[in-house]
Amino acid sequence: MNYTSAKDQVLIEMIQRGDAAALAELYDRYARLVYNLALKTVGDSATAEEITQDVFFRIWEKAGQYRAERARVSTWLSSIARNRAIDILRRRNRRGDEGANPIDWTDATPEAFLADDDPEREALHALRRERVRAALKRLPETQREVLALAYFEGLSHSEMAERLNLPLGTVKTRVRLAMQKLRVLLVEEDAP
Amino acid sequence: MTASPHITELLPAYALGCLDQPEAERARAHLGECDACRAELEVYEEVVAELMYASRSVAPPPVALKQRILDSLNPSRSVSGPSLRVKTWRDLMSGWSRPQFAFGITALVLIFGLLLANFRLWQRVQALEQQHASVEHIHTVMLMGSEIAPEAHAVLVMPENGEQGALVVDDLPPLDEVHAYQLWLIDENGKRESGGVFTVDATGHATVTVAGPKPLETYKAFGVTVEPLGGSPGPTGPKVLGSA
Repeated sequence: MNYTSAKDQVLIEMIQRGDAAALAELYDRYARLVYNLALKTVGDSATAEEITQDVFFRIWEKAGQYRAERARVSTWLSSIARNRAIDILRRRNRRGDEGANPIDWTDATPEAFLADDDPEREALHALRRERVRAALKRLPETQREVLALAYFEGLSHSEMAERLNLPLGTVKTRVRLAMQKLRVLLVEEDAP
Repeated sequence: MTASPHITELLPAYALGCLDQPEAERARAHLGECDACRAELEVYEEVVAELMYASRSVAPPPVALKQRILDSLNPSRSVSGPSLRVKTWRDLMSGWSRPQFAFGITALVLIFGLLLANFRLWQRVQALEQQHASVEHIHTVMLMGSEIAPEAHAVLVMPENGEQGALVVDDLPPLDEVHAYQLWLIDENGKRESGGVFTVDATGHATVTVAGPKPLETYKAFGVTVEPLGGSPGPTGPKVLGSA
């Protein structure tokens, strides 16, 4: 079995069979993204490490629950990672703490990323990153703002309304419009 | 199908996890009985997943983390086990009592079953690989260093029908302040169009977004030359990288 050329879904099938090498390959592909998403969300490396560990444990234990017809592997994995990070953030009750990283999307520049051990993987990630960056850039700043508060801080509609001192309906509309626009740009146009 | 009205307007926020409790509960209850809304939700979940790529990569995870995870996996799920020493039929038969013989036959049936299961898994893997190969539609081109930059190498990836791609370059010599590298997209007539201008860091590495006027896969070849800072309308300097 050539793990490096296997598609994500094939790796999940192998993990379901108890193949640790398949998990190792999936780790190589996604650990950096998971770790940095966690780091951006919770703001400290020790917790980001703990989240990364939890995510891959969960994949090992729950691979049998993955349904390919419902989501891509990367979607499933990102959902586990983000939920875990937001849970921790909520438990700490750290919303708005000064220690948190700046909550916006300005980081998403092509230069802001470390080199990967695998140039092809780095190029693929760069391609997706560029698509996301370009899509976010096409949103009004007000929509990007609520999107960041929901995505990185896990704030609800009413919490965002309170934080931004805006009517609840305005926040709801901004979130909905942002997501609808991203849907067109990132999903309905051919994704890489 | 469901008799209750669809909750389309709630789905973007549900995928993002920002609905307040009462709305989230209403959405959850509806999603449990509505295939159409569940399918719609999956699209928005994909949007949220893509946002992961916008998180800044400030540091790699600690090197030891991977091994720590692998070391602590539940060993009962490991596929590797004690190796089986295969004996000849005569070995198996000689000196066996009736219960031993029955045990031996059972073991053979189990081994056959395992082989069959592995074969089916292999077939499944092949099918999945073919299925995914047709879904992702990514083209990859390797670029190798010329005689003036023999250590340099690069990989260019591009989605099918996409006018944007990404180039990752390694071991290309850093240039002085008045020069830059330029990627050329070369069509079947030999015409060259710029795919982007870039510099490399001190280690010779760069990740570059590539954009062309038409789908990148339609170009016949790719090359990188040294040009004045800002780039040139056509190649003027020495070639440092080229595709086969």
